[in-house]
Amino acid sequence: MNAAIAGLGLTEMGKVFGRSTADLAADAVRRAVTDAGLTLGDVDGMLMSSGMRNELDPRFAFELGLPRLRLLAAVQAFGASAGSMIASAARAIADGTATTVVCLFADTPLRSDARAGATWGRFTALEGFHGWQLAGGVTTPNILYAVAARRHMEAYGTTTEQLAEIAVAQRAWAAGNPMAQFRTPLTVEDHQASPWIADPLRRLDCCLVSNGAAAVVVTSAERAADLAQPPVHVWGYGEGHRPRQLMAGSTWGIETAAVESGRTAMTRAGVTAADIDVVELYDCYTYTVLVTLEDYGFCPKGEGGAFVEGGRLAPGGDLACNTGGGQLSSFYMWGYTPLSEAVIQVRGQGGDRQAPRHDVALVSGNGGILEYHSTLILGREAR
Amino acid sequence: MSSTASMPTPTFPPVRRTTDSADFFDAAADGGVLLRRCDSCRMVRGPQVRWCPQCHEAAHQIQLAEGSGRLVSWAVVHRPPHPMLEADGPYVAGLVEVDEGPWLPVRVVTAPNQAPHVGMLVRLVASASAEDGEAIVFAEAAFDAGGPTPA
Repeated sequence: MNAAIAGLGLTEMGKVFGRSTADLAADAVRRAVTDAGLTLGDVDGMLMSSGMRNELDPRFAFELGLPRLRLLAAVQAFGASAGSMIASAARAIADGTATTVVCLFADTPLRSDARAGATWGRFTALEGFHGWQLAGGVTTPNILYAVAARRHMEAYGTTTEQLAEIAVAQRAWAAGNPMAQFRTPLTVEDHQASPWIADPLRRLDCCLVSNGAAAVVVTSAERAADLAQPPVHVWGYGEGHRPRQLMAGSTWGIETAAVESGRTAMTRAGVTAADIDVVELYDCYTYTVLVTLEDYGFCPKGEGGAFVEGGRLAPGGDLACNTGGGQLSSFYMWGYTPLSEAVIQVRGQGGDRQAPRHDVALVSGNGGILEYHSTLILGREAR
Repeated sequence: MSSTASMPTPTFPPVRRTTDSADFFDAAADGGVLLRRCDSCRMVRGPQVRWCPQCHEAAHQIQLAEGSGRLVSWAVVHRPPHPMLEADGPYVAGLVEVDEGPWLPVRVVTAPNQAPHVGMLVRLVASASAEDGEAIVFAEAAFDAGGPTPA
């Protein structure tokens, strides 16, 4: 493995109105390149992703005035996109395809005249089989993740109070993150008093929605060593994708492709779960964190609920997890929320939220309704 | 089969048929649920599943479901994603394993004070959607030998 993340660029996040997805993307790219101590003229590869509305495509690179590129694509693996893009960039650098690849996410799902919930709840025409499911009301991520979470709860006794522990821990981390959209401390009681969205998920089990953009610069470890920031080395990557099997015997809701994605990434990096100092997990919902911790082997299957109790994931707990507040409390940039926080932590630039040990970080990406998964292992030392 | 008198009938927003779903909605209008049986490997899949998950072939015969199943999982939806889904108050969105094996994502209706539970026996029924729309297949709790499960 010969790649490292050398630059990070984040725009302001949240209710950022009046700026297009491309405008925000351009800002994030400039900031990432500047952060690395490079210029846009040094970039010879770009991989981009822009949420569900696909507002960025390869034309963006040339609108931005980038020179001749040797790698250029829009990537769509849903919530797994970030890990997939870093892995592609790392391979391109290792095999000589490119030397300096910007990986980027930008999205503006929030509109100044619409509630956040309305953003993802928009219906198209109710037609055919899809219309049948929409009319039945068995649709949208909130509802389908609630059905998945219920399955886990019924199988293992996982409780809403245990899900609360995840929301509370992440909010405590967010208090130390100046970029977090929600920083007011939470209690389990606050969580339990928050309204049901789709029982067993309450409002405080659900991620927020943000406008913004995030970019990183990936280059060779050798080159990164001479650049402006401490390099964050790509030790390992993996992916796993499983269909949402709707048939007898399906493990949907119980186990995800984080199993094989994590195993691949950890094997490649030569580490086990016990070696990970900082865990940055894709947290569309509290439940996603819980099931992902199990699938990565941080605890046995079914014991995620007990594992997260007692503030284990909170500042001062045994496992530093979602240290920026995650998508539940900080900002919603899909896989770039956990990825950017891992870069900050491994560099040691976490300020008030810096995890005490930060030599090795794990980053997860989860998309669809638990179908798409990616994992990165990042390290402070070169490998 | 239409909904039994003891169960509330849900309100469904209007749904229109498509070419590939015409036979499904025709069956639903008669209270039936069409499944698909793979021509190649005989595996039975849900009506909405285009390719066989086992052998990846599209060709299939339709098969009328026997009509009963068991609840795999569910959510009680308090914030519906469509205004017309607000009419009945919080509703149950479920996954039902029909006796033939496929899981159907359907509305689940229980008797008043009857809480859903894993393995709950259900009957698949159908009811018309609004504005003369297609019939919508949903599940209603069947009476177990001991009667409805207390909430």
